[in-house]
Amino acid sequence: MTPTIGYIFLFLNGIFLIFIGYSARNAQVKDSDDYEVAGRRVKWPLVSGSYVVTFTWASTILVAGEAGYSFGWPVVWIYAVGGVGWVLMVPFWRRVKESLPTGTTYPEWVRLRFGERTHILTTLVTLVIHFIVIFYLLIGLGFGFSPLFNLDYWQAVLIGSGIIITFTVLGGLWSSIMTDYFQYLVVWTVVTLAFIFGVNSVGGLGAVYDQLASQGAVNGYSLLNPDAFYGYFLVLLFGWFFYPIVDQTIWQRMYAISDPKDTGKAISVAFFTWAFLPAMGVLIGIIGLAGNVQVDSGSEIVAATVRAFAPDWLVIAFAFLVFNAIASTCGSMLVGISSILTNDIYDEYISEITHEEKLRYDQYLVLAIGLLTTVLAILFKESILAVGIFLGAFYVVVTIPTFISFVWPRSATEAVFASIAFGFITALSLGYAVNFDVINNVAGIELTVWKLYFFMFVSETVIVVAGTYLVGKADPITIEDVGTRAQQSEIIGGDD
Amino acid sequence: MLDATSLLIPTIELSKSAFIALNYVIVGMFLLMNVYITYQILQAYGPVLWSLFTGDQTASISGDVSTGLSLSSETLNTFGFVLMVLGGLLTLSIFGMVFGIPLFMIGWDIRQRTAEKQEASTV
Repeated sequence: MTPTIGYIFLFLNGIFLIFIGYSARNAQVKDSDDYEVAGRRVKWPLVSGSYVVTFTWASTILVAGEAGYSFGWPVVWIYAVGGVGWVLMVPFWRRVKESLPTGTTYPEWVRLRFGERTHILTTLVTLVIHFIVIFYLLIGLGFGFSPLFNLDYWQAVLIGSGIIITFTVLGGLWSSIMTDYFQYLVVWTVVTLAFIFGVNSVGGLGAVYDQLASQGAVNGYSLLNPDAFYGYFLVLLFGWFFYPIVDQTIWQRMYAISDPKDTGKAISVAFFTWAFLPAMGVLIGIIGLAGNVQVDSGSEIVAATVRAFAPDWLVIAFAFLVFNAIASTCGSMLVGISSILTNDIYDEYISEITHEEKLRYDQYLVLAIGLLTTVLAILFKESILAVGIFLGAFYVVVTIPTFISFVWPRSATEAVFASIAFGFITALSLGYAVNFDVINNVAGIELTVWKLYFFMFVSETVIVVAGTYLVGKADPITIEDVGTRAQQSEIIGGDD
Repeated sequence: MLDATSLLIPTIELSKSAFIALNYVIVGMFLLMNVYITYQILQAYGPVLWSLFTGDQTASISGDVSTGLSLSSETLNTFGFVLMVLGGLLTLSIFGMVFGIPLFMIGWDIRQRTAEKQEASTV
């Protein structure tokens, strides 16, 4: 595999995606509603398929493989458990959509439910999350792509992000959804083939088992082990379990579904379909372990395993998979972050703008943020596993207080705000310190990521509950009031 | 890892046969869900795909003027048959199964809709 082949591949794939973006723009995109939520007229199966491939981040294949390589076979089911949160959140999504059917972002709903102060903080946390995710995806692009074609890391990031930014600027969410089914088929095909070739190269699943046993790699064929439980299960449970609340790519698609009654079906089918994708990534990582594939960083194990065991045409196909899986999610995240900045910051606090003006602003923001994250991804080549785990802390920040207020309606607005503020400061400070080994213990207690997440989970819950009792009065605003407030602020009816 | 946590969470080893069986189940379910989602997308968007081939404006996504190819029923039947054959051949080869199944289903769907349209125009 030579760099020339890599460039040709990127060029052809890029042309195809940009063509779809251009077609989507011409056929479907007239204003910000089309750009941000696909005009709210997408049928549930396409949204479901789109969810599957949008949930398929760099982590789903690459980090699942790295986690399998590091923690063993239990990651097959551990990764899927992290996604159970999506299904459990379906009642919440339904109620939010019912109370604000013409909404676009989650912070928008928060403003109507909890007021301006909490809205600003939630928006800030959501922006931080989306920014880190885009950064993390572009790093994944570099790690996943450059070893396959012997490209320099920075070249893979630069060219790939250029393509992603272009088709996203053109078509927004329509672009993303229309490319998603194609990318979905690519991902499924290539992962299956990579698994088959990998297993055959080692000599079959029985031989994989024998190799692991001979290496003493018990984790590789265990159903459960302490490393996987504490190093990954608890981390995912307290982090990813809650990510559906704040991820704008989920809200966009939820609002894009043409029939609100199909919301639960779309999410549930997407989850049960998606759950097997990371499992396949894990198995490829374990095959790499059994086959003694050598890597400098665990983040490279999946790509290195494919290169070691697959024929050249499959290596190209795998590059296709990596690029398209990342492109779909990254494109969605760029649309998401631009939607939040346009709707929740500019339109809300700076100057009201029309849907047509929002569309232009969305496109400028996609370009600007795309370029900024590209530069950062080139300059800071972090482990995608470490960045992914660091990211998980931020998902806890907003989700815990708002979820508690959902199941306990008398939660006081002030208490919710205090909880989010505490969580945000903790995620920024302790989250960074623990994840990147700045602090390893406090007062003799060893600090690990799962302990940090557990601490945030408990402390934010306590702040909401205790704060509500301290405030001493029932919150006057209910979920049902959101719709009324929206009408009063002229969101419904599209005056802006 | 701390010894105390190792006591709380044991290491449960899989036997060789269990390891092999579980992994085959995962791969099998993986393929099955692919088929399910493809079938559902076809059910929802079959008419839209149809409009691209036939120029039937009523089924296009936005209701605007379609850019359909206005293919004849005979051409559509042949096209659908070709897709089914190609999809079937790919499916027979384990390497092409994931792409082959959706292709087969799309070809079958096109032929079904063509037959329904022919029957409707005869009536």
